[in-house]
Amino acid sequence: MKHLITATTLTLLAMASGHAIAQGMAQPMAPQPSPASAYPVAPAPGLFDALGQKAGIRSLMDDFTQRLRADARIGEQFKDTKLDALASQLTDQVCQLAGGPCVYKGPDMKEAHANMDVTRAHFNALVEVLQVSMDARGVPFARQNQLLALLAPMHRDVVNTR
Amino acid sequence: MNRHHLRGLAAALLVALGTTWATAGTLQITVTGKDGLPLPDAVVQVEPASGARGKAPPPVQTHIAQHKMQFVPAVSVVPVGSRVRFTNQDGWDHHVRGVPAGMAGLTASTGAGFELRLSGQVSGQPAASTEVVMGQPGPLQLGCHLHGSMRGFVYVADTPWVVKTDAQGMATLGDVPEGAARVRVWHADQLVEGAPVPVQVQAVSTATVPTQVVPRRRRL
Repeated sequence: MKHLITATTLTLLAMASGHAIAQGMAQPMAPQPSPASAYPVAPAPGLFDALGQKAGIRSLMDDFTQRLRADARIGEQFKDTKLDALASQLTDQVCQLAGGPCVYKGPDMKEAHANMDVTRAHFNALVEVLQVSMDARGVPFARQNQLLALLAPMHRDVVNTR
Repeated sequence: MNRHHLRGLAAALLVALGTTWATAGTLQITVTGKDGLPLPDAVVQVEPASGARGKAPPPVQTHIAQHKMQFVPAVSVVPVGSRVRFTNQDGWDHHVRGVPAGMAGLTASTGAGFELRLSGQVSGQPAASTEVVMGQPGPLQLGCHLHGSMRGFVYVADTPWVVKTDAQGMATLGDVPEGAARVRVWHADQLVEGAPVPVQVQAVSTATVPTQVVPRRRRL
């Protein structure tokens, strides 16, 4: 049930952010699809700064990747991964999506997950771990949701297994 | 003079006498998976019942690309001592590692295998690459420290009678000594190797080897 709520919330958030673009609210500029996200998602104003800019995002991702490996549901997927490198890639990706001056150069989300069987439950587990991490880092709830809204559309590329 | 010399001498004599005694045959093997469909990328090894090992084929030079988060080809069969060049064609770094595959990986001494970091390709510039010599026979699993989902295999062979199945699940082996032999099949998604299948090698012979393998699919 909790997963269902998380997924629904994310979908709603994704729709809400799309709505914001349609209304032409103050947006830095219309983002183009990129390997960071195949969907043109626009960051909420001030999100990059609210996350503590690149350094803040990096320390959030360091915390996040360690929690991922420790997670009973999806930790196995990260047991042979160099967390340092993963955190660095995630930092570039989140920094770019949040409107920061970074360029993510990794694989797109479809390619990145093609060799894994990722279910909706896996995806939701990762979102929950990220929420725990953001709580631990003191990211305000509204800002958490703004970041999740940027990531939510990825479920279409990441979830590849029923 | 040892036995090998005597056998070689005997063979040489037979050839010299112009006998038509055929000594080697061709074996065509079809490997199927659990669903009964042909199984590509299975490594087929034939072992003559006589215990003959065959002369290890000369080392080769070959190539495995890292392309769009995959090792291409996903499975390579090379003679022991071969040089394999790894080339990163992706726009981001890969940190390739090779470790003994399967059960062997659990007991392998530290230091077995290799690892190499290849930076991402910048468009217009040649891709980063490094060569590795495959010194130990057996299957090696390839992975990437940065992208845990990447998977590939190098099967290092010390006999001439090893080949991988093609897209039709077929493997053709030439110059196999005629007579009784066993066929062993190795596959990346086979947890426990099945019992060897006995075959009779003739001038031209075929066999089908069923397995319980359910090949992992790439989801794109």
